[in-house]
Amino acid sequence: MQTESKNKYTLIGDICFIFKTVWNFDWRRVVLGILNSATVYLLEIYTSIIFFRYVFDSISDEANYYKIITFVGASLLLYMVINLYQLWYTKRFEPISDSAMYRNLAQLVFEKAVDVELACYDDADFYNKYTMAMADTEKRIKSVMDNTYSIVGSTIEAIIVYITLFSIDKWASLVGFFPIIANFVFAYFYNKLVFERYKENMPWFRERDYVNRVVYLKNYSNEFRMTNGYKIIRDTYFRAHENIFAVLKKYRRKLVFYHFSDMVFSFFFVLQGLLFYGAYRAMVTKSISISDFAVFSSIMTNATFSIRKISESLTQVINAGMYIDNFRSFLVYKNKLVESKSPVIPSEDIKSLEFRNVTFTYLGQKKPVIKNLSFIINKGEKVVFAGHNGAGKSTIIKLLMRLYDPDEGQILVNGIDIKEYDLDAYRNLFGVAFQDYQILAMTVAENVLMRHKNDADTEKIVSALKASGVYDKICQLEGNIDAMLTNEFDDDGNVLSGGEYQKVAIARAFAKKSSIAVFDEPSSALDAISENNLYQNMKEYAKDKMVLYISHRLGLAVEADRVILFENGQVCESGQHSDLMQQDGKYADLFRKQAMNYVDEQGEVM
Amino acid sequence: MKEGTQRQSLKTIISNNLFGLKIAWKATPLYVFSKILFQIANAIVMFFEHVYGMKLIIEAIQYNKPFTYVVCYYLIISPFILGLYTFESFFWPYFNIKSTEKMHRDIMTLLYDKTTTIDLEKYDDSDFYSKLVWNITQAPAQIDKLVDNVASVFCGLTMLGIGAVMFYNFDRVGIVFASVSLIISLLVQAKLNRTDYDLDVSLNKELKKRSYIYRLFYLKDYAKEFRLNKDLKQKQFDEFEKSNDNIANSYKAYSLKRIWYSFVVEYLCKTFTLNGLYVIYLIYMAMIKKVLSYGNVVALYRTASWQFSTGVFSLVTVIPQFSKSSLYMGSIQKFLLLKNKIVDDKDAQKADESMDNVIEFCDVSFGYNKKKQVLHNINLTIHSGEKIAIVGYNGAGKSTFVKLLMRLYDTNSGEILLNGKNVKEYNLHSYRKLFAVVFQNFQPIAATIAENIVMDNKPYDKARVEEALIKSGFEKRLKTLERGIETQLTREFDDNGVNLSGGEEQKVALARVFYSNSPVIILDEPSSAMDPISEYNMYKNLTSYTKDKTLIFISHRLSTTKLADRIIMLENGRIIEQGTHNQLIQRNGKYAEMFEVQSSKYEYRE
Repeated sequence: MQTESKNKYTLIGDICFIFKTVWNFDWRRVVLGILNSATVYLLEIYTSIIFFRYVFDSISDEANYYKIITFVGASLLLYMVINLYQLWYTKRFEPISDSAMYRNLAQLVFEKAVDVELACYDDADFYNKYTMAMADTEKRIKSVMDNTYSIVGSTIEAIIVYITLFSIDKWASLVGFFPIIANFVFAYFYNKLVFERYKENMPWFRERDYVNRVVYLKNYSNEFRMTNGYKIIRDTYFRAHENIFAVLKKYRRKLVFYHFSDMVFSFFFVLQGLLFYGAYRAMVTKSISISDFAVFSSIMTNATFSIRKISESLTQVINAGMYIDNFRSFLVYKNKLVESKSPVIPSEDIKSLEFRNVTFTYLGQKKPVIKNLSFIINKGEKVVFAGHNGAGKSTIIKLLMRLYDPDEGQILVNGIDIKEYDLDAYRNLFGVAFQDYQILAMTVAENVLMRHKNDADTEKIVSALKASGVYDKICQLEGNIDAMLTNEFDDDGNVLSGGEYQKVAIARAFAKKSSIAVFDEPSSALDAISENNLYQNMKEYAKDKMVLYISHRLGLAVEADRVILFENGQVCESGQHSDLMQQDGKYADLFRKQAMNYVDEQGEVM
Repeated sequence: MKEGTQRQSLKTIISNNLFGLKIAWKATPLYVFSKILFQIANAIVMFFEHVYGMKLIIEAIQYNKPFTYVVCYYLIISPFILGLYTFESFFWPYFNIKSTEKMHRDIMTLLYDKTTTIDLEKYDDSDFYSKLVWNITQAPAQIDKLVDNVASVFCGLTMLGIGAVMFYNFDRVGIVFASVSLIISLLVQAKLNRTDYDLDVSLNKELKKRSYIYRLFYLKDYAKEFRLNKDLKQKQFDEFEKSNDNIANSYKAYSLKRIWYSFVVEYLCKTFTLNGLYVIYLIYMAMIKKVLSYGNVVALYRTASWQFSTGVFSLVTVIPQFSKSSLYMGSIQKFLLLKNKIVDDKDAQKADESMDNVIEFCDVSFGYNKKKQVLHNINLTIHSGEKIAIVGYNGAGKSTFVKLLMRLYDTNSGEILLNGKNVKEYNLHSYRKLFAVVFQNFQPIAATIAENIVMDNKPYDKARVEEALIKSGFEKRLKTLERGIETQLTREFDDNGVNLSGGEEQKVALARVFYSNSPVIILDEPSSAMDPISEYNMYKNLTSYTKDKTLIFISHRLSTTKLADRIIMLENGRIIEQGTHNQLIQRNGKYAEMFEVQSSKYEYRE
């Protein structure tokens, strides 16, 4: 496949970069790797040119039999040494060195990955490039190295082969043009067409792959039994295949032609041609010896395969080049969330939090999510953020935690722009329970702490799990708070329900000694009692902290110090629940609609 | 796979592989046939081109035969070679790809058809499910491998056979060399495979873990967590390093064995015996005994070092693979032959949609596994047109109750009656058609909005679909969509597709209910992702629309239960209270308590 995007670096630059990186990880890897490849080519050349020729020459010259035996014996010894080295390299040195290399690579990548600002992830282009560069990086590095060896080795092999041919018969060496044409003309067009065919098939592959991915998913298992929905999917599958077949057929004729031409030029002209010519020279003009002819017959395959390998490895390196390019750009990427030059360590005593004329637009979107937003929250206030889906509530939280920086305006904590603070220390002020939480494949305790567990942590973890209402469940697991969660790689790992996972994630906010507690729709999967317990525990836990609670269920708003209703990225109404009800605006309307069903016909609250 | 350790009898291995081969043959007989034929033809042509042809030409040179002899040889062999090229050129770029696509499609369809009809309880068996996923994801690669391996066996046998003929005709002692090499190779290779397998087993979990952690760092889902928990990086890196070290240690532990076995197969059996000892013997026969021509020396050398050893090598590596593919094919076979407990009996009585249907639960108990009962002795009668709300805490058995009703599961004890007759006696398809359902955690399939509502591949009435969408509150959003109800949902494979928000998705799901003619409507938490206003409107429409239909809904939010004629309160799998909202409130039991907790949040008097 070819790449469409323009490469930022040159191919040679990429290769040098890879070798330099690996050299820094472990220089022996480079040296021993080169040696290993060298032995492969050495063996090929030795066998088909030196060994074969010597044996044949000796027989036809009727040389001393024991001399030949000694030669064969010495050769076998050479083969043995080389074979042992190659086995040692591939079965012991390389895999062990691979894991060392992978470790260093991971260190490099992890460092960087955590540093890149979150906005990059919203940039589909960056994200695709980045994930492509990250996935299988270690395999690509190996591929570039191996293919570089192959290019160099095959080139040397080709040179030796054609010099040998030339020394026997200068015209015979001209046969080299055929595989060159085959591999750099016909194979080039062939690959180009295959790539075009692939591109044309992409949409149908995506349909096909979609079906392959979803049919067996549990999400659809009920529906496929209650409806004929599977028939739609099945039709999609067959349609995708019909389209794939049509595309394959469209390219058939040209591809067959190029493939055939490639084969004739690569093999027929070289193999049959060289032999026929050799036989002619040996039999008709009698200008070469029988052993020369035998050499012809043994190096003819090297003559064509060395050139084939050069072209194939070149294609591979060029392909890997695109990924390596992305990888390099990623490593040199400069974070746009710049840390202040003289960072201030924030005080843990939060007196105020202010959004001042903040505007923010997600990358790639035209409309700002947050428009000229201003509000202040004071020490110890418990504030409920209300509003419809898409009103910008979660974005405000992300801006506040400096996962993004505002396009305009300022966010101030204790009167200081948050950009002035030391980033890690600043983010450490928050204890957060996210709506889109993630449970990682580690123990319950580690999932709560999000770090290694010390013995001193146990009490904290238990009380956090109790507060979030999942401790009873955790106690049923083998290993208690040290039980492994998820079965990502451990088949014995525990899989909990969605609600239980959410409670584990909520426990994170309880376990952290934070100055500002943030709950982003923490209760979406919880029943009424759990939600209420959670809210009461939260109040208890955050007695003197600043609390931001996002919810579109307004029941909780009644108890809050203040409610801020957002609409279209702006503050719509703000104040205490009772004040807002008296104001009789949008909030009151929203609240009444929700409350309506709890209130009986007489207008009395039950 | 754990099962890999079990020993299979030869009979099982053969019958399992035959089963797989039969599937492939049924899908594309011509492909399987031509793949095998190609391998055989290729081996024969290669022999005449590189071995026998060489013998003829060298002998012609040695014994001064006329050049026309060589020309004749070329005239005979060239059409075969070019014919093979033509076949290959048609085969590789087109026929091979098309046929494998077709083969995959047919096999996957077989698997999918089965997947979507097996008893739902199988999905709860996590061992069964992970095996199912494994079967499905591996199927294409495994079936390809099987066909390739069968073809390789034919190739290997052909090469061995030709080699044997060569030895038999020109040098019978060669058979001794060849057999010794073959037998030792087979024995040692079996040990090598065993060792490689043990290594794989010890690596498996660690490799999974390592790549899981590596993935954490570049996937968007986890980006937020890493930025807000700065110690998480170190924790994950430590884990990475641990499994990385384990991987290196496994390689180290097995390296000596693997090097030694490989050395025996690659060097002692192949290079030393066939290239070394046999060559010394050949030279002896040619020089001292003078019983072999140069041509025969070359031909026999090639037979031993290339023809025969390639044949040996391909058999030695391919044959052990059949026990691997046997495991896989056996597992597919078992899956495809699986008998359902809930059977769709075509001759059974059909349930009637137009009738008034009375559903009775008589002493129904049920558990997903033997250890834990989810429902205990449920007795309940649901009359036609009744509106029933099912409430209770997480894990009370609400979803299970409706799943039993729909016959996604069958009861363990007790029976469910429809109009006085056990539901098992009805035709399954017609029985399930009585229900229109919105499941919890609804996810649309990648199809048009209309198809997501109709959930069938049959033509539909556009006006009715639109009407259903209006009733479910989707009208406003529908107007913003250019292609209306023909809009593709999700961007899975259509870049012009639309990703709806959670609330909007639920509205689409709800439209199914409005569209369907089914007399019983079941809603499992249909409004969890909706905002209050949407929820309010939805329930208003729902009650007015379903006047004469039976409605059964599950909800956490008790504000909606007042709409019900009857509320069923479940706790730990038992019905603890039932009655109208007012009755239950007066009773002042669990329901009243639960309602109080939720409604107190909305207490407000104007």
